[in-house]
Amino acid sequence: MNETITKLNDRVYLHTMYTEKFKTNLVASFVLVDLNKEEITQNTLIPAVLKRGTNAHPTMRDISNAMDDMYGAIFDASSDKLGSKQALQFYISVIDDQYALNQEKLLQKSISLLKEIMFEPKLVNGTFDKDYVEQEKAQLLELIKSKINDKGAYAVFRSLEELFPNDPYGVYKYGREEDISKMNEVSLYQQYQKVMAEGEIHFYVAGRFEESEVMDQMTKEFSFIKDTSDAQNYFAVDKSDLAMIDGVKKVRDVGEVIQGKLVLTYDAKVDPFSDDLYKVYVYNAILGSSAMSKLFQNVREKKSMAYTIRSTYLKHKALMLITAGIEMDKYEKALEYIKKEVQDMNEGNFSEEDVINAKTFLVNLFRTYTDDETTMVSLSMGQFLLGMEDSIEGMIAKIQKVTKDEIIQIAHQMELKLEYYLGN
Amino acid sequence: MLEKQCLNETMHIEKLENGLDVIIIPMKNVSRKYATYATHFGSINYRFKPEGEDEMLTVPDGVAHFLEHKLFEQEEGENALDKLTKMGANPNAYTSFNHTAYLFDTTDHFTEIFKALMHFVQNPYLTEENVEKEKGIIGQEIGMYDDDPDWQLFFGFVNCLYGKHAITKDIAGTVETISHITPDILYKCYHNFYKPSNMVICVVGNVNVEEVVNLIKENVKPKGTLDKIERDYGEEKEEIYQSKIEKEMEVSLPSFMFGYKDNFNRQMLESGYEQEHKDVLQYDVALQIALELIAGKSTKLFEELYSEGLVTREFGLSFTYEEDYAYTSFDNESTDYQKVVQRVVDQIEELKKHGVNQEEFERTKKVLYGNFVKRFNDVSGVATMVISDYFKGINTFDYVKAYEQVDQKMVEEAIRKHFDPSKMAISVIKPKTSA
Repeated sequence: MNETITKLNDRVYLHTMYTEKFKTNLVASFVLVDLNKEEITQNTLIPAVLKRGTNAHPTMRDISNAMDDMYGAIFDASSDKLGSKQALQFYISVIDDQYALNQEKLLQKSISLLKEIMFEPKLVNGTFDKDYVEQEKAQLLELIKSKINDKGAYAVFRSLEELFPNDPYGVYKYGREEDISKMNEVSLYQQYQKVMAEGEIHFYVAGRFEESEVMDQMTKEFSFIKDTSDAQNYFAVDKSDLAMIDGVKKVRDVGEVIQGKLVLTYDAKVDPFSDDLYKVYVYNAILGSSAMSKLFQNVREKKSMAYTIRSTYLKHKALMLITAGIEMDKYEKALEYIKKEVQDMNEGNFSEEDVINAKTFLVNLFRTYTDDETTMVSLSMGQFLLGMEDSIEGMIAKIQKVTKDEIIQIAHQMELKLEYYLGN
Repeated sequence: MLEKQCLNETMHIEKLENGLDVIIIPMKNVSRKYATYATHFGSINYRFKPEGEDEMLTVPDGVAHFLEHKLFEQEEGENALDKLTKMGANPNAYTSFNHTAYLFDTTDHFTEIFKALMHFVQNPYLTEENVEKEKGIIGQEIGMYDDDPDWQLFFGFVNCLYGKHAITKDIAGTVETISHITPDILYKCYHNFYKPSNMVICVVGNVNVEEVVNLIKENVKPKGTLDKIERDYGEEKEEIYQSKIEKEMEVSLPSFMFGYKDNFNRQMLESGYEQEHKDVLQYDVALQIALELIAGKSTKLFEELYSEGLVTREFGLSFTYEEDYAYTSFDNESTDYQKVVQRVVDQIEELKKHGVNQEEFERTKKVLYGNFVKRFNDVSGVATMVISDYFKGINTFDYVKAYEQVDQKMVEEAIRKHFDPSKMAISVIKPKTSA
């Protein structure tokens, strides 16, 4: 797989990733804006409204039929948080032209259709369709309210909210309930125009195609996007909120839960733009991200102290989270055992075999990333933000080089910032 | 070695001397390697004639699934699942109505992991003690199915269609039936059903065909008879057993599953895996298209039901056929399920009378074919499809032609033939009425 990145101008990038691995091709785009408390809810609503209809395909059914005519192409648009950025994402996955039964030019059509959905929305009197906006507002309200449904994810959200009271990173990824009633079709359309005029836009085409053909088409379709913005599009890793926490913050919520949800958040204190990332990956795999990990094997399997347990590394913020679903009356014990495993890492109480198993797990995982087009593209986007250019094999080589001493050094840097517990 | 092509992939098929079927699909550009070792032994095999005996033997329900659990236990002590995981693989196993499969995927160390897989499947270690212990573990799993409304809905439905057939039995058995399982029974089933001539190995992904074939030849035991196993699946007839089963459970909305019994498969699937069963495949594709044209997400009927608030999600639609049974099914939830079913039935009659719309037919055909193509993106998707088709006697690679060949007339004929009102039944799970 080869990725080529071409800049159309200072805020528009074209990425092509050639591979013959798949039967489908993927056309995707990311519109990146700075994460901002006042705008996150509106920005989440934008892709939801764009999905409803375009000038040429004014209803969802029209869009759906167009996708069906392209052999059931899969289309979606959504919004997500990527560190200090909010990403509006659009994608169409379509079977490769060589498998079309009637020689249709499916990739070409998909690129045009993606552009149409992003830039040619259905307008009524020069603004978004009021019905669509109102319906999607109601949906979004339900979506935000439903954050408490998945208790595990809710506990993670609450932890980040507690850790980042000022940083917009602490806001729920789909936004805030109180913003919804303030929005209407006119204000949302203005926000849409602002985002499209200022955001950093990345277009991706992944799969099997004639490079020059795709570049010609993309250049033609997207050169209308002007570089009108003076916004600084750099990726910042702001941790000032964490610096204000003295010692370990403890938060306890009460909810209707059957299992208690425990989240421990550690500041990994590594430079997210450096190769220390790979040391943290190995550390994390030994501690809790794999089935052979210490947390899983010892706390869950041997001590039966947790139903679920794992550790996760958030690379764009250099945070490590340990999440566990536990029986309520085992809270103290579970916490003690988890901390013991973390302490063991600190003291170097893990074997060379643990290191090898962790590396095997990661190598397998990284290679698997390239077996899925969507994962491949999101990985590339995530890496781009961190200024990383490693290929999968490059990443693997760096993983293989990590030593036990380096892992212990990472363990020494880990600082517990928050103990969060959701119980009843 | 036989080779088949489809969507730029090649399937290599070979029957080894000991009767084992080997299917290899090398996919050069992917990183993953996926291997499945499966036996034609599932939950419906409760009665068979053991090798060297004259009488049919009845074994307790849930034996196939029980054996699946036990094979991971090894004499050397270490659980085979842990062993494979440590080597970097994602191992798994499952038991269906008609087969049991052991599988893993990995990107590295394929040879060692594959050898370990072949080793544990061929070396059962069953003792009085470890069999007793397993009964507790499986007992808990069975409890989970009892509480699952979707599972209960499905079993109500197949009970209507196939009252006395083995497909109405729970895959894991019941706490009562598994209490009768002993190491002797398990070994007897093992020796009869885990012989090479009753098994298949399928490898998909970044592998070299010759190397894999040699690896298999070196590691699979050569012995075993080639005799076909005589099986009894219980009473079978063309008619349905009852037209409706209702059950009350703790659900918020009534859920329903209804559909039609089909008797097409009896003669067609006998002739073996190498044959191209063109008629079966065309009929299958035609019925899949028919289901989408009746109640799929793009139909006017669905749009109406949705906007009237009668349904809140898409219908589950499927045409299922195996060696010994076949049916279509529609499932959904509704406050007024009778109205929904009536509207679907009216739509079927409408299509019988006036035929299908050509534009909708073309579009639906494209979508289904596209879905088929997309499954080839994923090695596990390919392997799962190939294995499940294998046990029907169908070769997955032959479907491409069926998608190309199927026309509007075939769909209309399939609708007239299949949707026979006298073969229709419905299962309903209703919310508990408070006392």
